Amino acid sequence: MTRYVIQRLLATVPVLVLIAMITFGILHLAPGDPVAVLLGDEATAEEVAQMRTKMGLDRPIYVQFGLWFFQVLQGDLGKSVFSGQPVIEAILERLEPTLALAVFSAILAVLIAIPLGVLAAWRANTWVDRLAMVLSVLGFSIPSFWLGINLIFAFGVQFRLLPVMGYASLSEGLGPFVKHLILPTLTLGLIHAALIARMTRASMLEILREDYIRTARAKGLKERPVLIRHALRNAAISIITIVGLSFAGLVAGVVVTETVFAIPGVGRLVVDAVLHRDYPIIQGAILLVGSLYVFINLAVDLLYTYFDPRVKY
Amino acid sequence: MTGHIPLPRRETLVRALRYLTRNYTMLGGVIVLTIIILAAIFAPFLTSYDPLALDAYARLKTPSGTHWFGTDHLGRDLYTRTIFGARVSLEVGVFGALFSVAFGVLFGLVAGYFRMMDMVVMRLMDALMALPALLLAIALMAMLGSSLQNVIIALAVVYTPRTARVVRASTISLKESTFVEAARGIGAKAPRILLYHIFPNTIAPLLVQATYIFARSVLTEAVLSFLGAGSPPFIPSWGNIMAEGRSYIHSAIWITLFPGTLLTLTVLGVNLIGDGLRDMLDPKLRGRL
Repeated sequence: MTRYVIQRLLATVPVLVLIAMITFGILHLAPGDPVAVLLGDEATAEEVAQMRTKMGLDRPIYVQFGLWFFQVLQGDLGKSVFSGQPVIEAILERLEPTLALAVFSAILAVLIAIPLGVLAAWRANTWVDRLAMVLSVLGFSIPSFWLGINLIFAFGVQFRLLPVMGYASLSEGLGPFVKHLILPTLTLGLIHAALIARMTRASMLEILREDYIRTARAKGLKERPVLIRHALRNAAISIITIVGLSFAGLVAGVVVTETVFAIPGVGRLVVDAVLHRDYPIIQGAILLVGSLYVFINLAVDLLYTYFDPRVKY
Repeated sequence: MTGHIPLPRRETLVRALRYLTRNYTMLGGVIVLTIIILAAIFAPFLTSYDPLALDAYARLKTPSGTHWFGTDHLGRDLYTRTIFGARVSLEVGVFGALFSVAFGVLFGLVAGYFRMMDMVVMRLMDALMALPALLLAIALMAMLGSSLQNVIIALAVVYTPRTARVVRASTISLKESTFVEAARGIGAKAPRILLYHIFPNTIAPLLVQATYIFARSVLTEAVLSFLGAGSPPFIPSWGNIMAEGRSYIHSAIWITLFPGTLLTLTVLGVNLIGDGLRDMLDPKLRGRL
């Protein structure tokens, strides 16, 4: 097992290097000279040349990549063009709301999706199943920002039940923290529940056809233990996979939700950076989220082998 | 000689139609999408307003007989903007899917057939897929600048790896089949084998994939525009209309309500068609996913 984990960890290295290359390429393929942007229109040709040398832009591209990559490996992602704040610091500062939102949404999605998926599979091809599946297709057809706007309108504007904007840190007390997170969590959680419900139904359907389910029923077990102890446990493997992958997707979905609800998280940071063309921030955020994505995938794969001993490693 | 035995065209069509009339959800998708496509094509004939014309006297009007969907903060008729917005969304969806499929087929066939290329092409595709789709699209738009053409380029970069993977998987299994071996035996060269023997057999899974990419493209364009990184603000795309309407949630919810509903219906329609196609083309999966 240890050997397998090490092997899998090593296998992520080339992917991570490629992600770094793509991230680096985004800055260097961007139209417009970063030096010209930095110095403004009034800079002389000499100043521009000096700045180019200072920033290392006069060197061959592979040398530039090498130097940049070396810095990244040391945890130095550069500085924001506008605030001058180190990128890593800017991201870490805004990680709390992003993680809180992603984790709560994932929990909500699982709480809705798994019972719904199991119910749909258990009552396959009845109206319950059809309703559940129509809801689920609807779930991933709705744009998350639009769902967010409608929730703001309903709960914030019409009924004035919940705050519609911003974020309250846990240090400001549990009440405000939870209140501020309810609508964004609903927005993100409902959409991700759609996908998980569909996959849960699919894997449950497959398992419910197995011989051991028939045996369990034949020996007189009630439906509940059959469904939960015999079927859901075996379906868990593929459900974990999809929950893991969807969590990685959640981290990206946060970008939109944070914008709608004006939450000062990493997603909002990226969107602002795009609007200001603050490339180091964009690069840093993509590099971090990309790496996170790779490691979540790896964790899911490893969990898979843990839960299903039949999977050889 | 081709690898698959094609059904006579008319019979295929009749079978598809018969299937369609039995699959109500897919039929629903087809009807909804057809109406939206027709509205987009005939948009100029369906309204007497100009989608860009400002009217200072008709700002933020509620939906009424004169302005069916109301007006926005600049007095523009929202019904007109919404049906013209359908043009932008559908265009982005069609071209996004078209380019993703074209490049995906090219890379997938090459990677699946030539072992040497597989490593290079698929590692690059893996790295692109390791980045969340939306984030990659945002980064590309930051790099390329905001224009409709660039949105389509960004979507093609994001979704090409997904089609390439599907085509590669089919190519690898088809490569070993007897009809490909036979073709190779009679001296057919790789391009011919790929084009006439392998490609036609990848069309079924590809078609399903293309509909999903179409749906994702429409959705992603709206999200990008909403975030300010999509089509330029003067284009009346659904995402842009809603981005502008966001500041008026308190006073004029209709600005986001109508384009959002149309957007959801479009994506829903395409997804339902995709599900129906998948069931039709791969009966093993019917009713299971």
